[in-house]
Amino acid sequence: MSFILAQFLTGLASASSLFLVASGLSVIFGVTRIVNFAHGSLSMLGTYLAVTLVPLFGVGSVLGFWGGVLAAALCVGVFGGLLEVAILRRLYGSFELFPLLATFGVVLVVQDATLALWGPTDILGPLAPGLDGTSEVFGLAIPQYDLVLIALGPLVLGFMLLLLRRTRWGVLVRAATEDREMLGALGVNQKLLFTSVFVVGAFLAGLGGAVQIPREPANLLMDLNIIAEAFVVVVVGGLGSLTGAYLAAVLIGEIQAFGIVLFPEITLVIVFLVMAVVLAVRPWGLLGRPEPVADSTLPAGAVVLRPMGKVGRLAVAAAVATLAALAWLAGPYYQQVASEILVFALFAASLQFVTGVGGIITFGHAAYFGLGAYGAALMVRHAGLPMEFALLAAPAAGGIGALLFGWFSVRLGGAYLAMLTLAFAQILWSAASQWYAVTGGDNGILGVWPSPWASDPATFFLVVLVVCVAGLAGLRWTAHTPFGYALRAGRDSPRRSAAIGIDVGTRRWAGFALGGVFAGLAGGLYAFLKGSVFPGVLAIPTSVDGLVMVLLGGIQSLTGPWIGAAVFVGLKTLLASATDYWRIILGTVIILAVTGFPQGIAGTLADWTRREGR
Amino acid sequence: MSLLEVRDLRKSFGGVAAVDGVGFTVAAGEMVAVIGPNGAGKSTCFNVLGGQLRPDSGEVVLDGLPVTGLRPEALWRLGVGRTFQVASVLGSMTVRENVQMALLAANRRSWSLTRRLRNEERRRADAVLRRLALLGLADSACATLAYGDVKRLELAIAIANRPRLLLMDEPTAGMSRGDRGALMAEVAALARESALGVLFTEHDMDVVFGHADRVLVLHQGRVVAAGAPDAVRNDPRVRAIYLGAAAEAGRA
Amino acid sequence: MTVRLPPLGALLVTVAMAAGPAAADDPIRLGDINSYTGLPAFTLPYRNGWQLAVEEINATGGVLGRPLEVISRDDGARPGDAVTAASELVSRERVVLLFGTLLSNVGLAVSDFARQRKVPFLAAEPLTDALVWEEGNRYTFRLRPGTYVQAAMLAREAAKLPAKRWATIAPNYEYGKSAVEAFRSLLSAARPDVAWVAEQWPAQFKIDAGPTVQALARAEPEAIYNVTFGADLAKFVREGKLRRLFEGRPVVSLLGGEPEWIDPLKAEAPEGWLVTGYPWYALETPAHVAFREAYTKRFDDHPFMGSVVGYTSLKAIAAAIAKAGSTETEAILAAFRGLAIESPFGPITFRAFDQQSTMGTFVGRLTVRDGMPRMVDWKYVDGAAVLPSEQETERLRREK
Repeated sequence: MSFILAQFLTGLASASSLFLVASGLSVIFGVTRIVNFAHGSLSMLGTYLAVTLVPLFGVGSVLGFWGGVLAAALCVGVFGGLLEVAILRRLYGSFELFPLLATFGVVLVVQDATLALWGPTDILGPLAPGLDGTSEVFGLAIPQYDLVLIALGPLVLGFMLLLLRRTRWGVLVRAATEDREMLGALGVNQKLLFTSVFVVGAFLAGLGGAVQIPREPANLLMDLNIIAEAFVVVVVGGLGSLTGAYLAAVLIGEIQAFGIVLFPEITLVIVFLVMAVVLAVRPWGLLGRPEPVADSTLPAGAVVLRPMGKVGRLAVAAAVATLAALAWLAGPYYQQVASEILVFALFAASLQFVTGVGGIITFGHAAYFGLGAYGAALMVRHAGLPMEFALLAAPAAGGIGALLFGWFSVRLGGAYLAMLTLAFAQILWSAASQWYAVTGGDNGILGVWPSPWASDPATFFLVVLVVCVAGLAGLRWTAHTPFGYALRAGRDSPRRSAAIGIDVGTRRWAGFALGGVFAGLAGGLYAFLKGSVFPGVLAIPTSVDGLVMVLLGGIQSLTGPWIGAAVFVGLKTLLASATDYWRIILGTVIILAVTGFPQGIAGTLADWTRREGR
Repeated sequence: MSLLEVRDLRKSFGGVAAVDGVGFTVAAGEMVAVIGPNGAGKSTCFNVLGGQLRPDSGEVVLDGLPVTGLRPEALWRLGVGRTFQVASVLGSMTVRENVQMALLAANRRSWSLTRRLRNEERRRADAVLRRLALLGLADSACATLAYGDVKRLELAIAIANRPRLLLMDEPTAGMSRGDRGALMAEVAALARESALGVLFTEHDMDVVFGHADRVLVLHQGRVVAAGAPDAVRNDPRVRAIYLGAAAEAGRA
Repeated sequence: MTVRLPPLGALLVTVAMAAGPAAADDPIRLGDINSYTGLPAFTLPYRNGWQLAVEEINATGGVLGRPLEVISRDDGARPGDAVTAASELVSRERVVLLFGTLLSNVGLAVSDFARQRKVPFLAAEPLTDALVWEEGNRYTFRLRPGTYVQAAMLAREAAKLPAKRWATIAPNYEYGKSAVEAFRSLLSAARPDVAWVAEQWPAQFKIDAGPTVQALARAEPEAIYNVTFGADLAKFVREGKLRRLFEGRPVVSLLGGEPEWIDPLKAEAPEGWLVTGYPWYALETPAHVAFREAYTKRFDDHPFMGSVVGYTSLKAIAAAIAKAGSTETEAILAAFRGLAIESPFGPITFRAFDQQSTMGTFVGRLTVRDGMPRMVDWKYVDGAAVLPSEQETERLRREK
């Protein structure tokens, strides 16, 4: 009995930590509709600043500790405000993935900046003076700092609710969260409001990071570790609902606390399992309000599909011919890089088909890429089949996976859909990491090399070229068929589509599954390109890479993903072989690209040619 | 026999009856206006008829066929076209593609993966566009159209598949006065030519009394008056609950 | 480190470079891959190590009369990126062999690449034993003692403890799993009376320390075997101390004495833990003193375990090439098998049958001196004394 109580209290302390970070994310999302991917980075900065400032303010003094923690949080708040003014302000009202991409750029920049400023070694902060022991609670020895955290969660929640209910600022924030038009009617200086919301949200993130210093050393992996869980909390709680976020944090904290007692090996998946179950039962989270599949926020101008003109056809033919020539002219390394670009172009194009054409915003497209890769690898290693058959298994695996997960996902809209798809990808990732007998766990599946006739790098490159060009052409063709148009109709206006006889739900499902087929094909090729498959192909970074490629190239353009993949993979490969600080450069490029060329490279090029033409 | 027959339709939200036992008919070729103050239940009634909402009880019969609670997709195939208060078209497509899409979906050919959409149903689409004087804009992107043209396009989409019944929610909202008359005249002509039943709501009384064959007055979820425009206009109950206020507003 | 920018635009329009025969003073090019951005705390000391060795070798005339040049690449902690880097190093940079890697899956991916492309690969740091046993191949050698050896050293010591009820905690991935499995089977074999009463598998670098510690304490173990490291270890130690998990309970901790892993804890390092590690401050053999002085002078820092591994890797490579008398793959492979060299830890040999080196490590107890973690009562355990025999290895390789 006492164990259960003790475990419950510990779970509450973890929940509070999680809530502090998630609350800022929730406030920012509620008002600005920005999914702030850099929120984990803000929290990490809070931790690093706190371990730096607290000693300056005086180790061992109560004032020094809490003063340092508060100062760290304030610094992060100011930094958040600067981010808003410098970058995110330019992106309001744009397609919801643009801010996500920009903040992903911020993540990369902050990672390298933190490494440069604080060095690679973990920094263990001081304990909280006067709170470094345990106290008796119902006869149990509970760490005093846990008690502080347990109180801090509800305290911050109460304070925020008070702020929202009792102040003019709060009224404005709630107005912005619930009814955008009303905000305009109130004659509010929207810019100032949004900036202030970012400051508050960043402050909360910083505070959440800073209060962790007695529990966790400042380290460079904190940003991505916390962000995924913070997203989960916000989504499970219901977007924009602070109380919901707290409930979700408690739910997750407690399930984790007791889950590891019953099933010690469940740690990898438990959080995402909770999310998947909650969203399957309550699609809008615990306290969220239904957010139906809405009309697309993609800017509608100038995105009409046109068949490729003569110039375009010539350019594509020239590109394919040039690529094919690489098989004879280039060395194995450039063939490898070109193969990788082609594979990711196919992956990105399948994602663009789902997200750009279908309007289904998925954060978990890696699931189908990974299923393809594992499907192919398992055929080779366990069934002993040659590459030719394994490459047929790949799209099948991707398609079946997408069919299954899509059934749960596509009926949701917006961020909920994105998070459910992410949850499915994470569940697969954890299965791949833990199902040793089949997947080899973290050590992956080795020896997935092409059949002897194609094992020469140049020959395999031609195989990749043929398959990818066929895949890309297939996706492009599909977009031009009635099927593709009907999918796009559902994206443009679900209401109009239904009124002319298009079953939008089924159509989205089918589109999602088709995207999975092509992603799976790309994954299968990737397995043979690398010779091995590891759980990482299913992980969040793979999905994010895909999104970056799509957005960099231009989400609206069918050609965009090809260009985006070439630029992203090329740039990354170039930078990684040239400097250790490739992340800061790549991050800056992404931020500049999103703020300067929101239509992506292909969209911007199209604009230019149109303008020239006039 | 009537084209559309609605019997004792009811729909409530959280205990509040938005539509409370409504019944009426629409004959082929007839234009029926539904009017009433805000909150009278017009939109709910329309959304039930259009399949966006399911009624709690009551019956909707289309040409002898019960269609109560069918989804919009099914209703479209049975010949019910629909326009919305805020025009809803497919923004990323051209004017012609919008109509092509409507025609393909009606014939269950929108799943095809073997042909390009460009060449499908082109002739029929162009005929519809010509009828509504939109052919000149056929290759324009919807996003570049003036709002009046968007409204016309929406009408073109709604009638593309030669529906028997057309549901129009505030067809002229947001249009200029001149455009309003033109659009409604077009609708009236269509109704006569192809025996199309038209049920529409409208705030503009000039449009209502200028084009409706019959007028139906809703108030608090019930039909309080129905009949020829002149009869309704002179009905003292209607004047009391509705027309007075609207007339004031119209004059102001 | 050598940083080379590939020519812009070369990605698409490169013309096959005709590699002329190597001139006598052309450097011998070696390709290094490691997670320099992903896990800098563990990999930067390693890089310093091989850099020092390169400088020493080149100062004394290089190998076969040619200087050594290392072309180094970051793998971003992703196996896929490591394969791309390996491909670049082999085909564009024309390195004669590959070395490096820290993460087990990255090591395995590169090893499989080496097999496919027939390039020698010295896996410097990865701990997974699959590299030399289950997934071993004739192109892959490994320097550092693997999970099995380290766990075996600790299991020998643990068997001497009176404790019968054991609990384990390890990160939830392959390294943690095999570290626990090896320790459990070896300790159970030595002590059939031992019972395993609890296990915890926190997600790596995401440990929820409070509940985990309480779950362990609830089973009332008499001793604990720990495999967590990095930020997880710091969190585990703080929570464990706070909740008195370690009071009266011996703890055995894999790699817990390696400065990379334990130094961030400073004065809070758990005293009395039985660990494998590297007492750089107390190892006074001539070979090590010379290495330590050179390293400290060059980098103004003390050496880490990774530094020794990096340094020894390069020394081993140089020795292998010198022994081979050429940079041909087969000659290098043949030279590596049975190669004996002097390392800062003493003499080591690359066993011919499984291509694993006999480099050992140190077993001792943790304490804190002058605010820093230190190992006491340590001894060097030679890998040769713990590694499975040739027959045993054959069995492991066949199980594949």
